[in-house]
Amino acid sequence: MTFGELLRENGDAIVRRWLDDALSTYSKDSSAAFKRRKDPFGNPVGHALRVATATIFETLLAETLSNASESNASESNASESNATESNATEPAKMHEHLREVVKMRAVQQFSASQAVGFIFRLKQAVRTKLEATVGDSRFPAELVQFDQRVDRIAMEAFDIYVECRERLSELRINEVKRRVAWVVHKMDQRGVDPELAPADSE
Amino acid sequence: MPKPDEMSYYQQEDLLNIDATPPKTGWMDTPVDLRPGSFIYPGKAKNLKILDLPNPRDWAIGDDDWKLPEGWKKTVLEGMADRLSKYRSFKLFMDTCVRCGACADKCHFFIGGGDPKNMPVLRAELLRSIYRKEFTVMGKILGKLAGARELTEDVIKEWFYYFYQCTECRRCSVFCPYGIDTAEITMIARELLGLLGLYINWSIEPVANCFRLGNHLAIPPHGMMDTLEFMVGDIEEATGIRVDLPVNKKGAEVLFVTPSGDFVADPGIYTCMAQMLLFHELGIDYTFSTYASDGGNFGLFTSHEMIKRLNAKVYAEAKRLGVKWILGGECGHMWRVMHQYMDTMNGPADFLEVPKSPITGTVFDHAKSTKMIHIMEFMADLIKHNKLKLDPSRNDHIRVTFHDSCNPARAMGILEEPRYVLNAVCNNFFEMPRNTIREQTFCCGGGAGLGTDENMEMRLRGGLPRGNAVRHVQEKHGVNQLAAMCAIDRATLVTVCDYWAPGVLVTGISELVANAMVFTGENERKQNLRLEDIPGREEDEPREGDANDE
Ligand code: SF4
Ligand code: SF4
Repeated sequence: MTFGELLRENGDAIVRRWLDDALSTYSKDSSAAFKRRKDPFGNPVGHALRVATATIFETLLAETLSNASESNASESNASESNATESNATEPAKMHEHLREVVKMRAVQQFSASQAVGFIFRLKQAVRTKLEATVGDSRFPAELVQFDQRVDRIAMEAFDIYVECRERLSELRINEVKRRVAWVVHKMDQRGVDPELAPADSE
Repeated sequence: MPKPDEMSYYQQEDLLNIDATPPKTGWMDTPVDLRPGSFIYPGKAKNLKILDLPNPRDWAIGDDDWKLPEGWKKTVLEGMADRLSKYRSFKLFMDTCVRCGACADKCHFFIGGGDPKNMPVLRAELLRSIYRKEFTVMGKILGKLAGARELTEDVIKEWFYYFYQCTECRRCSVFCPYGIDTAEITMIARELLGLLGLYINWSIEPVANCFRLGNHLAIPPHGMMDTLEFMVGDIEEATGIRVDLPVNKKGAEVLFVTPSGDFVADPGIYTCMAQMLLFHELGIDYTFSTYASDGGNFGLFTSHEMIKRLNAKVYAEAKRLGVKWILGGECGHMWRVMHQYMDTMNGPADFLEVPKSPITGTVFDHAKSTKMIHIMEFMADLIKHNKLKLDPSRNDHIRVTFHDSCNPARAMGILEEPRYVLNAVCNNFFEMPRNTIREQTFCCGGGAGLGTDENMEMRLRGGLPRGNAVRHVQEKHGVNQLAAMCAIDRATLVTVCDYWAPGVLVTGISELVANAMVFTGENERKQNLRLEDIPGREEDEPREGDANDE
């Protein structure tokens, strides 16, 4: 069995473990609530995490599998183009779901490392679940490669996080400006000092 | 040193576990983490002085010493005792909760943030634990075992933090089998904090302004004239119609009271302009007042006494001007006050008449007692009687959804009228998912005095469930505008949408009505009230609008 096949076989368990870990960044009662309710509108945080963890894992799995098939049959162009085609939509979706989760965590009571750190927990989930299956580590090279993929996603998450925090400050400024912009503009047009604006200025 | 391709290398990974799981302590022993971005700045001494409130001083949340007054503990406990005897609801809410958990995951702050103390049951427990300790035998004897705890300065800090993370939206109460209303518990807790001079500036400054000048924004009478005149100018530019501007007009039939947010800030101003146009077209004999120049009442977020003090001006002005009845604009919390408190606090308004539409003759019997009706009731009645000439196709570039504002929806039950009006003036109206509208509507995250900017992070957490539902209809139906009949919403939801559903604009309902209305003597309407070009109006062919699209 290849590393990719092993991943696929244990996929559900890995994702479940990862999701549990990610949810445990909230307090006990909260993570239980986020885990319990499946409704995307009543429980957007739990829902987004569930969808994102599954999609990220699937994307990484597809990469791992296609990578393996590439190296096994590097002369076959057909399999290569197949692989890229079938995965073409997945990464786009994955980025979207990742963004969704990070956007939420960027405004929750987390430090930056806590907000994106849950991504790294996938490494641990894979090790725990695979070690239970194979007893020891048979795929050091594949693991390193997989870890690099996880790191790449974590980097992306960090970029999104920073973007969201900047957006947050921007929105705050915009709101303050909006409170007075219209009146100030009108006063300017009329050439009145807003502080003084006499009642009979017209 | 192991290499990256060796398993042991990854033991380092354990470092990442640090901090991942929050403390395992029970909630009583988990100290409050006062994080910037989630609290609101304290009330300034000058504002407390204007209102004769206790312990005026300048202080900061980050200070160790909040400068509580001498004997503060006694003050709080006496305040509690007083309110337990005065408000039966408070006593019941303290005694009744069976901790069934039905409310636990219904608060938008919990749903969006995951802080367990934002579960309504736990929010109430912050106060209830003190009640048990001081006012119940079990709590006195068993202490912690009976869920009781000592009142300390840390408890006060925790109250301040969490009771200003409740928007008094009452969503939780919809799910409680006993009807426990955490909003009312929050109101009492804020009163108790107030006894120690602990207020947030975002509500106590508007209250102080309102007390002196009749509105939250401290717009003096001549300033209000200015802004209204600016609107008259903009209306003329958009429609070619010069509307009249009745202010403080004695003997007018109707006193129009609306939130002051609609006098100065985008997008509320368009709502106000729309209402001026409507009154002009119908020839309503109405008047603005520079004294009762705000329907909004931040007293609601402060104390019962303050509600009464600020609200009193409305009836007083109605009496002074000699109007027959009162019409209220698109405000949220103002309606909670008008509907549930005004009559008992400042009534009876026996000098007024039961509101009667001068256009349709409809008598609004349900307002027999308060003598005040909602602009949406007034408009829905006009449309029902075919009194408005409408061309909804002018709004065809708008795909709109409707946010039920907490107070009109849950506190007042105005659910159908806004939908009826929207369907009449827009051809593209889409509802958000069922458990996010009507009685179950999600708060904007900025009500009850929380709509300032220093707590933006907290507001976006609270706004997540609403923003999430907006994004859903944006993706599914291409929704590009969110209508809301609340001035706080029109300020806060702009930001909520910008973050959670970028691309969706916020509008008042009246604005959509005026944009669809065909006015006598109007120019060829090429611009809407925002003075933006109406798409597709360049090669304008008059089309018949269907007044009731479903
Ligand atoms: S009233 Fe609203 S904000 Fe307050 S606890 Fe209940 S659901 Fe949360
Ligand atoms: S739903 Fe009502 S009874 Fe149940 S925990 Fe919440 S407040 Fe208590």
